[in-house]
Amino acid sequence: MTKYLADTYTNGYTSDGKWINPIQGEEPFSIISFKYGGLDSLGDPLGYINGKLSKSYNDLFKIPLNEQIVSGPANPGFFGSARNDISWYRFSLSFNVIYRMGYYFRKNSLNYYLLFKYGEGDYEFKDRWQKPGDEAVTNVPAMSYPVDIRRNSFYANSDINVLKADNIKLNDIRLGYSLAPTNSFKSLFQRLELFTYLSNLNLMIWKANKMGIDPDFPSGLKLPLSVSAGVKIDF
Amino acid sequence: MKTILILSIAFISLTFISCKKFLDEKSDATLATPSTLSDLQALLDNYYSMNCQFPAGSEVFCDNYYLTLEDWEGIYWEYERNYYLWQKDANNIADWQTPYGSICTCNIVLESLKEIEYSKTDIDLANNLRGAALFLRANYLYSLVQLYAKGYDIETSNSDPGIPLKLSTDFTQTITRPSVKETYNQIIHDLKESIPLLPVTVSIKSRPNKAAGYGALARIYLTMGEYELATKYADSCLMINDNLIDYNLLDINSDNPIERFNKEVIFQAVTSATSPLDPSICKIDSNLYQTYDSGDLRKWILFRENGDGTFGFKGDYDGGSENYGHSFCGIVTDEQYLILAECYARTDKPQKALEYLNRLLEKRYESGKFTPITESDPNKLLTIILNERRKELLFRGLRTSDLKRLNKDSRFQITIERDLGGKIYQLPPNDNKYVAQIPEMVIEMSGINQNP
Repeated sequence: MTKYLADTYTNGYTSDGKWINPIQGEEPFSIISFKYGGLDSLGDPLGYINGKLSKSYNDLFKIPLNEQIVSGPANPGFFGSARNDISWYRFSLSFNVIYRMGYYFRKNSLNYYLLFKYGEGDYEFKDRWQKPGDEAVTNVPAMSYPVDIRRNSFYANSDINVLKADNIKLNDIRLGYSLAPTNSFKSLFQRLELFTYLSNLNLMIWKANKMGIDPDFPSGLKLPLSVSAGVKIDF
Repeated sequence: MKTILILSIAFISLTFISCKKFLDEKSDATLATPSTLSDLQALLDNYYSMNCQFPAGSEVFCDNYYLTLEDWEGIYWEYERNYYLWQKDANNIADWQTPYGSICTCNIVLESLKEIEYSKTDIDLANNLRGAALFLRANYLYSLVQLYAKGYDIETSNSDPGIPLKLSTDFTQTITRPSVKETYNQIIHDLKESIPLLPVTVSIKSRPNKAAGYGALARIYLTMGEYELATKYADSCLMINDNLIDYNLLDINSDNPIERFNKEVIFQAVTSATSPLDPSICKIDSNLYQTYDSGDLRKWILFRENGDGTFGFKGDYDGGSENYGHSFCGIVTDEQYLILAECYARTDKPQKALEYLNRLLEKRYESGKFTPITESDPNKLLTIILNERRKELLFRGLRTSDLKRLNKDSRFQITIERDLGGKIYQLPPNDNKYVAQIPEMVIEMSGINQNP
């Protein structure tokens, strides 16, 4: 930090937990959002000002920090991995399970500004408010053009879009089959093993969020599975 | 015999008659050389070559923005990737070449003005052209010395190497590097000479006027630490044009809320385009974003949310629609207000400093939500003014110069960092990396000294 910068203003403060929040008394990487009050009868998102529902977005961005919802840290508090090796006759199997608990993430949500400007949509689009009465079944705001960026920003940064990120994953598997040489080949090598190794599996065993989102890849684009196979020879 | 002699003398003397005219004939009829004042006006009116060739380096080097590792790796040119990290082997030729190209055009105009014949009724136009050429040349020289030389330091300016002063089109001239002080002297001399020649009003803001001349001098004197002189010229500038846009009247939902040639722009100038500043990858420092209060409209006018938690810049004073990575660097009234606020604060006139600062900020906050600043402690007031300067003048080509001069003051020193995927690159105060390397081929051809 430098001596140069002014005090950080915290009215209407939100954060995705991706960088350090320069606020004293808060955890450095916590996710902070607006308290979401659902949709009104016109499909506009509502927030709370002094405990009352409001859609005055200009004023919502001025509410003090203590009225914001702090969901929790964006970094796992409790994490580790367990590697298991099993061998049975000539087969050997090794796999790595990683677990991360105690953290949150902000999921991608429908952003009308990006939709109109870049054509970037979101799965939520089908759930948006379309007719009166929808506000009882959905939280996704109605499409409005031209975009009101404060309304847009309020929805994107509200706590309705913050989910628990706890998950347990199977990350890689190695399967091997080894051969001992027959008499005639004993002089060439001692042992030969054929193996195949799969990594970047990202096979989800359990996750906390009910929306089917992998917290490591909120946009749904995953790293490609990497498969390698080979022969291991001991001389 | 006599006839032959007479005939040969007559014949030879014939050849003497049209010698002068002969050499004046163009060697190739398709070459166009300027021959009228309107030709010269056309040369200076060439917007792209006279207003858009300022070096982008000063904006690339500073801490207004950052790039992610993926975006940085995606930059096509290696020299641009290295330039972003202040590497000495970047070898960015464009930032040197394009300003000198524009300077050459200015010199052509200045030399042609001495040779072209024009009537008495055109004297005003000829003076305007001379003033404009001097103004442009001075501004380009200033932009070069900001990038390729150390910051102006009263103690070392006589020995710090400046930049070659091309004041004529003679390309056989030996190239040398005069001192920083001599460079600044030339720039100031050109500007002072241009001001009486420039008109008060111009039909289009890409042409310089008197206010532009005053504004440029104010900016230069501030960089030099000459606060009294900077005050005088900023004041003269604002006396001609002191308009401020009320940000309440702008559409915050627009992608480019500030339009080109708006009423605060005195002289239009932009840098060349460069990949690191491309709006699609140029992301604003999140710490900087948090320094804007909730009632401060600049938070909504200057920045846009990228949708992934990062912010981009949309407050381009060039209107933004043609922005592929350039930065505005012309003369604007808000800069003059801040120059006055800073200089008054530094010369112990806090009331006047507050007057100008508050006049500016009032137009940047929501109506009725602005509480005028009343800080009277000189240290704290200066800090406030410098912070507002940072918040107001983003992407105007000024930050690196400010960093260079403020880093000399222990109260305001900072080290800039670039984080590329965990690897940190640093730019400490007064580091040599603040001074760009002169292109290799220039050193080879001219023999001038390279920057350390």
